[in-house]
Amino acid sequence: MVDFRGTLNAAQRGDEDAFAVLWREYQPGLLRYLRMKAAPVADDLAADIWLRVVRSLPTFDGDEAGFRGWLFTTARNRVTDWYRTGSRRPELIEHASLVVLPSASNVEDEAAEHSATDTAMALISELPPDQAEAVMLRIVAGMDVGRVAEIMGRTPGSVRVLCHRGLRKLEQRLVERGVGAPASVPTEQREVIHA
Amino acid sequence: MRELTPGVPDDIGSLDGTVVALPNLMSGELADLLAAAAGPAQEHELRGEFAARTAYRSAAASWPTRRRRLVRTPAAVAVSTMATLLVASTGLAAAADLPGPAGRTAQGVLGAVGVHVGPSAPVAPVAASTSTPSSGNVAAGVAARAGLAPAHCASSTATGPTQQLAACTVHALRPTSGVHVGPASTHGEAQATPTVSHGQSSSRHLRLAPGGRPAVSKAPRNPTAPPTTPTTTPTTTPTTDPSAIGGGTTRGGNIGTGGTCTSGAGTGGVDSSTTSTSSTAPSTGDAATPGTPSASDGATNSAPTGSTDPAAPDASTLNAAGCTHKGTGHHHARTPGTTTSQGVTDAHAPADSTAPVAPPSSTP
Repeated sequence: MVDFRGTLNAAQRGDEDAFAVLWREYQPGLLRYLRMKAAPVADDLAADIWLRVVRSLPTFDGDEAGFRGWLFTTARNRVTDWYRTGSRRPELIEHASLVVLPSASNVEDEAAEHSATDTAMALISELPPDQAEAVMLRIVAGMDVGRVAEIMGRTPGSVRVLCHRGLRKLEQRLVERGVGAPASVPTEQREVIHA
Repeated sequence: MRELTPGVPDDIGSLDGTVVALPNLMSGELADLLAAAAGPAQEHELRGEFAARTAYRSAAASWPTRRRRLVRTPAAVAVSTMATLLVASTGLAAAADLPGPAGRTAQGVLGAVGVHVGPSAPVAPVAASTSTPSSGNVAAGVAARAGLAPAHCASSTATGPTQQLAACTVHALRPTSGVHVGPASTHGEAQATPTVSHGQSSSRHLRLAPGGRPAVSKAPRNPTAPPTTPTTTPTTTPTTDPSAIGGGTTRGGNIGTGGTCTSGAGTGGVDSSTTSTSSTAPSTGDAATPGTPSASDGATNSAPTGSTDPAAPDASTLNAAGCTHKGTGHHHARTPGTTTSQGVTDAHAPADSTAPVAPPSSTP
């Protein structure tokens, strides 16, 4: 995203395209986080979370990190509510959300990438819940330690410990299983992550 | 120094076990795994864009318009301004009418921030002549930093051989530094001359009696100046040694029954119940002479012993004149070395009779 502030202001003024830019930027990470926390209803929860975000969007004031933190805080609270109510009741889903857009990329590449991401997410989901959440928020969502600590209600030191333990456990499992992440993601696109 | 490489546990494992190796996030399988997890968006993850747009469109229709906000903002500012002004004016008016200590406290607080609340009570008239102190009794010390107003205290007549009544007129400007100047109405007991007025509360701010001197520092700097007879107290016996001119730093809390009290330009001292910092004002002459008989006529001094006046270590040694001062905040510029009508020597010997007199405090 080139200009987050401008995009956000446009979205707050009612620019639908600007909101679409925001949505495309943050939806993948949000959906992965929700699939780790509540896989069966991840898509529904994501739609509900975006609806809440849209309702409060005019009152939001902050930078990109603040918006990201706000989004994932809303997601975490929504997941907590979902677990608290224990509801498994069916929810109404709009027909538009069921429309599957045609893929613009190669099917083979998409399958390979889908496999790589799914493999990675499956391994992360096998971690203890706290460690998995810390790793997801810290690495997948790309937030700093302080923001993750605020979202998780922990101290930054605790978040660092959780991330470290989670990463060490992931590394250990990769060695044990002999599973290597497919090199579908070019090295130059990878983000340097310091836990 | 050995360079630590992340992801190499063997290199740092020998370091006493206190250093934990970090996972290698730059290369290796773990890095590939994390890169895949944080990879770009996939197509199936963006399927709900249309629904999201629809939700955004419907939600944006219910957003408040900016025009409504622009209209509401000035109205809110105007209402809040009016409410603030109303509360402030009401508070100031109420603070001016608060009785006693509450009023003084309020005035002190407001005065500290530069807001001076005027009194609503009428000012008792004070004869101009009463403000002319005896030259021997004039204390001219001014504790400018205490911010106290100049005060005039004229010695009055003695009504009997064993009792000498003191009449003081204290025009105390309210201190700007929050130093309390207590009411002077308690000074009116057994006044020999009706011209001496104590009815005016000294805590009133900037209330000078007609003809009263706004400044107090009238003490002659020449200690050898001849004493002058107070014009308003014809029966007053000069009780002070003209050669001993009080500097004006007062030590308060004098409750006496005899002698002469000259509550003149004492602006440095603070009376008994006042424990303000004005008592730390530099003494310019009202210093108790050590060894001087104090309170020989039964005067009771209730000044705080914690006074920091170095020349007068204890206020209880100061009262020899017997001026009955029960009020708080009166400033008694003692005439040091004064011998009262009963032969009582005033304990307030000047530390330095030629000490420079600070200019009168005219702080509003």
